[in-house]
Amino acid sequence: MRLTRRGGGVVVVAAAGFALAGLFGARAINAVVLPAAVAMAAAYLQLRTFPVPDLARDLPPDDFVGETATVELRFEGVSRPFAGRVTDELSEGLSGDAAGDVAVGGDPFVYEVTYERRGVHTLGPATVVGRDVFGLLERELRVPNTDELLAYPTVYRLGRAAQHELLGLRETERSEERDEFDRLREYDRGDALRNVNWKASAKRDELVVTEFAAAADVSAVTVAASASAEGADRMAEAAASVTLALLDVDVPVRLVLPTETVEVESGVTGRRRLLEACALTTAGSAADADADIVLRATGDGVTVAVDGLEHDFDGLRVGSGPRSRPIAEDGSRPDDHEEVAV
Amino acid sequence: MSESGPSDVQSAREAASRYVGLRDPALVGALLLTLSYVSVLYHVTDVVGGSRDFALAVGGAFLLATVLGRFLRLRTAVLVTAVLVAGGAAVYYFAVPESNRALFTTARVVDDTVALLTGLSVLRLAKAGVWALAMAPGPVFLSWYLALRGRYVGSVLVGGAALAFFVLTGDAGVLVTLVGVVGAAAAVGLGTLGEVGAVSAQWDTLAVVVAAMVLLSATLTVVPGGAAQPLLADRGAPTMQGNLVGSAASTDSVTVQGSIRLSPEVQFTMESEEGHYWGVAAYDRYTGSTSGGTWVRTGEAEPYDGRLGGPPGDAREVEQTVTARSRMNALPSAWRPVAVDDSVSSATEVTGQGYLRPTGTVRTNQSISVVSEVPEYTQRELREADGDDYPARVSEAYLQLPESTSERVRQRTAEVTADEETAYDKAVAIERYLESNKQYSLTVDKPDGDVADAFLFEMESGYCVYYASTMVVMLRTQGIPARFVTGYTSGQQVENGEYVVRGLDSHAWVQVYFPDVGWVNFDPTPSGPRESSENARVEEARQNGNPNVDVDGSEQTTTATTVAPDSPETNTTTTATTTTEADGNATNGTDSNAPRGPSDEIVGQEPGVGGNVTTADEGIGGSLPSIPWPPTREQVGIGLALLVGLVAGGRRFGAFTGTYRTLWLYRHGARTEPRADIERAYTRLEHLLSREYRDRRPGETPRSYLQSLGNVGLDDRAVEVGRLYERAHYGATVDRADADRAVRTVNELVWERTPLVGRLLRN
Repeated sequence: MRLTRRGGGVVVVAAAGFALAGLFGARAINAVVLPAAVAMAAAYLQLRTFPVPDLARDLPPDDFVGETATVELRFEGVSRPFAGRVTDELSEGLSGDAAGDVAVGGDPFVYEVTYERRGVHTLGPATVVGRDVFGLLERELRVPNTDELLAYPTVYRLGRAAQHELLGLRETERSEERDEFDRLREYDRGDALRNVNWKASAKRDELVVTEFAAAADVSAVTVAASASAEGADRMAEAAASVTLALLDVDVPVRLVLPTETVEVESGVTGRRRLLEACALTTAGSAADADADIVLRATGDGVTVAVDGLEHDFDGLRVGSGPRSRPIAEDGSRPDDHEEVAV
Repeated sequence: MSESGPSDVQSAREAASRYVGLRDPALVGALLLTLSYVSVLYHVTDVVGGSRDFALAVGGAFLLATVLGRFLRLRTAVLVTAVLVAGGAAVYYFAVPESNRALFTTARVVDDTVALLTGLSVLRLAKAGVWALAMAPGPVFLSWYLALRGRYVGSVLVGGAALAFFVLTGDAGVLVTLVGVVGAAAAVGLGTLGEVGAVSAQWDTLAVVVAAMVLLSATLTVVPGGAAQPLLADRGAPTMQGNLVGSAASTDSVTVQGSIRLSPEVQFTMESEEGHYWGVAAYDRYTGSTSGGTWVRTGEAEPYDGRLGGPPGDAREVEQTVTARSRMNALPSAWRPVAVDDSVSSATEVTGQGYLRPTGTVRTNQSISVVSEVPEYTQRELREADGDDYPARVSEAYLQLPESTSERVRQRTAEVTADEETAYDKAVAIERYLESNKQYSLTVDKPDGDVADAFLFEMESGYCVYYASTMVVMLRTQGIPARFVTGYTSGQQVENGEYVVRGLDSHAWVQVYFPDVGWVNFDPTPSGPRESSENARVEEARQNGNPNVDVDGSEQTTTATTVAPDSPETNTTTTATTTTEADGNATNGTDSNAPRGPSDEIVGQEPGVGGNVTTADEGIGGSLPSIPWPPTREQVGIGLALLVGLVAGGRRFGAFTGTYRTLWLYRHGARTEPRADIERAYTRLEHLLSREYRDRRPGETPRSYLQSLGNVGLDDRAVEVGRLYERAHYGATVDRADADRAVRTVNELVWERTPLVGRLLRN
């Protein structure tokens, strides 16, 4: 328990009043000194009864670097809300104004965090400095609960040329499986327009869609990523960008990272798994013997090797800004229908 | 760490103070604080004059702050305040008369400020009314601006500093200070809670603390330097001497007290050829209030610098030698003192009213000689000395009355003096009126409002302070300059030329100014009863063996004869022209009936009438406290604080939840749907059973709960209610009759379990 500035001021005023009364006569100084003493005593009694509150954090979903999200702190176990200053500790890699005055036990304390770096970040422990009704004394209560957030690496949009190459991979894969006969069937709502067989549709009066029998058997593209110590972040960004671009065109991906290997198909879950893996990965080398795409990152840049050709990742990507678009609940993204003319 | 430091956040918050508008409850606290110190200044202007202008100035400052508060930034507001303060200081500077402006040196201003802060009342300042007008708008503007912007701590700092100033000068009484402190606490508390939205959660704590502040301040004293004036308790009556002479000689005001007692110890002996009223101090400014100084003397005391001038008319020299018998802070002498011993001349001051005062203390057995020039006059001279050509300094200082003086005092005085034409006759009429219409008593209840008004219209009895104050006020309403004088009556004459003066001889009387004559003594206190009570006190002290009641030669005389030869009638014997008008019966007063009016008879008063006199007890106790009606402001405040404290404390400590719960159990409330009624009835039943037996365990169905209770003797009726509840709760149809039955049954069960009533019902 310690004195605030206000409390110090009150003590000084009371002491001065006491001294002046002793020196020059009491006058009405009693009506100043005694209430000050009562206020201090009451402050002490109030602070003694403050409970250490339980903390529940409402976390935002994991999101990309550069995004800002809100965190809500709710205090429970406080039957009688009191005024206090809450400070939540943020680990490096998160920035935000995590301190504020709030009624502890009343409305939740809301603040914003910005993800600065990829990876796992910790929120907490929180410190609550409770004050009495007048703000004369304060008492620090430490609430040890911590929570974690994951920040995904920035994902860049790939340029046309790169997208061509990726599509090429898909086709390559698929052309080997071309033995199977492609069925034709009626157009169903929700079918991608690119699957429409225009020739066949022209012959009939309705739209028909080519259903690739072997669609389900499209084999995964393997992407292997390695990085030196300084290049881990770039590697993560490049890996995320490339693999997500593959998923965009419905190519299953097998991503080999120094820390782990993930195999995903297109869909929300798959995107999440990829992003998580990229967020958590560290520097190192990955086995890239039979990989279709090999990424190598150093402090200066990332090289992408496809079919024996090497490109600089910075040349592949479009623009300097990230394409961080939120992943909607149903897995769609705002520009899902961007087509690439083959 | 990437967290922002707390100081950054703090300064960002402070920079963004917003206009909260007029609906924030914390503004009430700020308003109370402002009103507390404004009321002190208003009282000053009421006493001295200019209260209407003052009210306008303060109102203007409030309005300005309200209007500008919306868009003015803090720095600009501080600038505006500085302009107001500087403007006020300039106004004051030019209002002070030319001669005094030279005194505005830095050193002098610092000295004066220090004097103010160590207990000098603001009323002593020259042109106090203008000073109040000049100083008020600045702090009012700034504190109200800050309060409107939600910066309550700042507002309380500004307002609190102003209030603290008046607390230190002694002008703020206990009630005013307490109101201001409560306002400050409310503002800070509500502001702190309001910032975080915890007002509804913690207002009861705040209310309890504030109520505790009020109640404890009214009953306890924790500061040294003598008891602060407690609001309620009258702990032992002060002595007459202490009230009039003791500390008043060194301070500059006399405050009217309630009941008072007489101290029998010998104070000094006086050697003088003639007996006079030995004056100590005179007071010019009347405030009328009974909680601060009632009479204040203005002006600075000058060091004694050689023989002073005497009265404007004829006068004779009287030499008197005072020998102190205990330490004294006063130098009693007959009016008008002109010279003092050379040995003590460097340690003597002359007050602005003309009396002498020692700068230090007169030691026991120290003797000091004072020469006075006593004015000589006849009644005719006094009658002729009528008219309005009083010197400016006299009419300025000695006609002052507070603006709030009631009209009825003026009217009553006009009635009393209706038949008289000259100032002298009017004075005598007033003197006689008070002597004959009021009774003498040392036990009185101190009045709340104006002393003169209360004594004239509400009180039946009082002592010399009341008589003298009222007479001065009545004279002033008729435009006759008069002043209030404290000192001693001549005391007990033990030999020719030697008087023994005791503490109980301390007295207050009146001096009236007559052009070309000077100040003339009048005494409206009936002397007979006064002397009786004084004699009784001396006798009692002698019998009790109190020390210092007598000196050599004073034991024999059992009656203290008081000589009051200064009154106009007795003075006329020394001049040749004795008026032969019907009233001219002059006696050289050595009898105890000092004649007062033109005729010998003192209407209504006879010497030795003991029935009119009550000696004060040493304390007040002995009778049961009765409920005072109508209650004083202080009592209302205390009662309110107590009530608020109890209610808030009850809520704070949960005293009411039990009550609420019990009420809930007994009352079913309005009938609504049958299903809802049955469910509520069952809930009440469950609560009742949980009090008597046990709670229903989580997961236990009502049926099995009631069954297991039935094994220990539960009423069948309760089981039936449970069955009804099942049907209602799990969807079967229930009708009104079922609901009514359930409610009735539960009501029966609840009442049967009430402690006393239940026993009756069960039989």
